[in-house]
Amino acid sequence: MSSFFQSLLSDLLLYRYATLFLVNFLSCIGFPLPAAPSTIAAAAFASQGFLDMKLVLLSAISGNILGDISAYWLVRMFGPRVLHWIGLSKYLATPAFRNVERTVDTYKAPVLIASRFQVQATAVVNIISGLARLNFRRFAFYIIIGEMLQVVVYVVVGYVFADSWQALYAVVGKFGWLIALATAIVVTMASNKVIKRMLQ
Amino acid sequence: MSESVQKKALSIYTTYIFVGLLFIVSTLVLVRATLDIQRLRQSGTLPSRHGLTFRRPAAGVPNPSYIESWMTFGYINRVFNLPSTYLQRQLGIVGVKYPNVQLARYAKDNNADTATFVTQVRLAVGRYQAGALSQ
Repeated sequence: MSSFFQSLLSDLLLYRYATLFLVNFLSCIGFPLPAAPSTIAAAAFASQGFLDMKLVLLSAISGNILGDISAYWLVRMFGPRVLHWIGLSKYLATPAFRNVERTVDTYKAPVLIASRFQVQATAVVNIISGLARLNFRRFAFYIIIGEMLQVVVYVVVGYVFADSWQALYAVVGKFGWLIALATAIVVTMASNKVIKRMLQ
Repeated sequence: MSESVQKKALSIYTTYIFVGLLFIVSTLVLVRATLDIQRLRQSGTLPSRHGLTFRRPAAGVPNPSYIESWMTFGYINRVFNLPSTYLQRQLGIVGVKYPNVQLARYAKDNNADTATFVTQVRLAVGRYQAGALSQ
């Protein structure tokens, strides 16, 4: 366990829900913080009776949703200007970026929901959604579903493995990627097959 | 049906199926959690007067080796069911922050070696457990 995560756990024990909210909020904006391990740890502490599970769910979900929405609006309002200042605005007009935009726009639900399970993917998709000026209502709808699912999954993991949650910490990064990847692959394959059959 | 209409329909159906699947999964998780709580309430582990705390039954006596330097005295008191002043008395802890201070911070503030202090806490908790078991 890294010393940074250890100090974060201490903060979680001392400042409780405020720490959980902040870690989730900042990770959605793009700070490389261990949001998923923190949520798992908070759920484990709740199962031991140290924290309140309802407040753990509330602070994690609200932190994530508000972080996503803040990131989306910050990038939407200031993203192009910032890219212009640092001389990267030309990349917004490249075919590669247009392709990424189109992919996110076409597969809004799978991309937005599956990306919530991995902190780096969350930040990247939030930035692309803001730059591409994705319809805000749709963005908010899918990220709310995704964040609720993500938090419920990690809380259930923390609750079920409360006695050995520290061992889970070592694999949780890969675990997040695996969930996102498996969800995206299974849903894409299953839905494509069903829809092709329906359209024939 | 033209290709663009097919593509649009594909996109819409994909979205609805994906959202539907996720709702099914989340419903199953919620049902499972509800059944778990009901079972805990029926077994008396989760008294209804305390509300929905989701506290799990302890899986036996917790091992003091679980204690680490990032933990706070308050957390250790809770997990090991210690009286709130037990560690304070056993280890001669002074300071207004107790029990809301982590072991590593307390050791550092008192010029003590962190590993040694953690060992002392583990031994104190072990003594309490031994005393509680013998009674």
